[in-house]
Amino acid sequence: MSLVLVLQCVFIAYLSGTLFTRCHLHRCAIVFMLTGCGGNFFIFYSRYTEAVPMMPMHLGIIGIPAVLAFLWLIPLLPKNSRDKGIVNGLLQIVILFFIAIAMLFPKDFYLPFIRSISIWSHLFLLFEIAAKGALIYAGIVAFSLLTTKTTQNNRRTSPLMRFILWGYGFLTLAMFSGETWSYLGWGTPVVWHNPAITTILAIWFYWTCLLHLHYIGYWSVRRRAAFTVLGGLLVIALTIHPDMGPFRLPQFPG
Amino acid sequence: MPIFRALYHFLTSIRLSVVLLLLLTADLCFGYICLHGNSSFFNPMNETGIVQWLMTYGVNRPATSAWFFILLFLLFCLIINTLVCTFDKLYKLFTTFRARYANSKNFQLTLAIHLMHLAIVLLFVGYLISYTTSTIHHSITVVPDIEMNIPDSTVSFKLTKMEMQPYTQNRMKSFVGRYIDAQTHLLLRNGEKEKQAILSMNNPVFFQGYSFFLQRFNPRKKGGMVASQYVVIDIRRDHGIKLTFAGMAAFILGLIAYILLYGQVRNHKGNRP
Repeated sequence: MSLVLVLQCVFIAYLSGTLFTRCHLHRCAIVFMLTGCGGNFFIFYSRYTEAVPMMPMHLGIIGIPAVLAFLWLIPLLPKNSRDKGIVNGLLQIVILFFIAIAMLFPKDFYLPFIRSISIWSHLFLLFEIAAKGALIYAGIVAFSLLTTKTTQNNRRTSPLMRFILWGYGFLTLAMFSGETWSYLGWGTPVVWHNPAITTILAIWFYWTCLLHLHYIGYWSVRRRAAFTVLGGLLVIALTIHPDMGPFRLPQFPG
Repeated sequence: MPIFRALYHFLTSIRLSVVLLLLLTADLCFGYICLHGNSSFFNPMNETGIVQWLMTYGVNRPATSAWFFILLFLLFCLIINTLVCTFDKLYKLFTTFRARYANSKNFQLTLAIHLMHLAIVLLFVGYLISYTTSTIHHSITVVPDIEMNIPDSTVSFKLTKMEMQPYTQNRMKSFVGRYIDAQTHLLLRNGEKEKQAILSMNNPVFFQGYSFFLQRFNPRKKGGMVASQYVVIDIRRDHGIKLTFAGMAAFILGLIAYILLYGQVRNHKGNRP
């Protein structure tokens, strides 16, 4: 069974999970989301082990929906909260969007390069995927804050801050792992000819700005939430565009 | 002096940091667009250093390189802002310091934040020193058993042995039969001092302030005609790299401390009546 076919199955599983969630058939939704997540991790694992000891190229677009699906499956927000319904619904849409892009605009034809045989390159990739997953999740949680009016907004920003902090921590680790790899491989901590460097730095500066806004408290919770949503969109845009290949219609077996 | 006071307030302002950080984000997004399909234009920066690149490539194609000039300016402003703001906050923190707060989580959390800020300054100063004062000898071809000297230095080096590392898996067909690394045995000498070291991809050799980086090697494939053995290396003398890594280590230390303390301080505040 080719990985392209597995990807199509993963898309169908996620789509079914989303539809079952809409119909309030939660157990069925969990089964399909679990299947999709398993298949998603299988594709990630297969492409990763194929490239080892080198670092696989353009794997973020596969890794991030797997992380988001995992976050969908584990109960991170308080049970029965209205936020949880909005967050899970949006999360499924974002997951479907990533998988649809990976299917229709595949960039899986790039060969890895031998200079990526380094523990730091692998750490860079894994931390980057974890960071972007957490930051997109934070953006979605922030969106749920915008859609509801409540007096307990400060209490509700608590899980949001947790995701922002973890995402920011992982992003910083990704950046420093990348710089260490860059130094050991090229002799300079930043290789400016790589567009991926600028995207990581742009995301890092944006979320640094957001943390400053949060701690100085100039802005209201709703404004900060809107800023966080924009941050999530920035992460999605700066992840998808570099990992997007040319348009290709899905090929069906037979 | 009201002007200096106003300037000081402007420089210590967090609003300025917010504006600079947003401008940096926008500039880097623009840089991403400029870099797309133009990576060869930026590649020589790693070989010549920033100043020479800006004076040659940068000036000749301003539309493509403008974002980089803006980036340097914004980073410079951010360093000044971070430095002045952090020292101002630290000064206030220690002038109002009371011994009983020294062990409080809030105090430690504040210190963790300041550590991260100072680490960023250290990091950027390290970059600045690296990019402006480094000596780079780019793409030096080294063949076995011929002793070479680093230009303008008494350090010499000789390739004594090469051990090729083949691709041992069969998962990627295009790599089967290819070498993926070369263990390059170097004999380094500076007067009486001598060192044997192995240079390979992502595994530089350090000697007397110089660092040696493997860029390419030959042969790249097993079998066929007997190919000549050589490696292409970069030799650098980088004065800023230690600062850069110290900055990274300090930032990670501050971040870990912050993440650990954040939950405790938040819980403590939440438990208050």
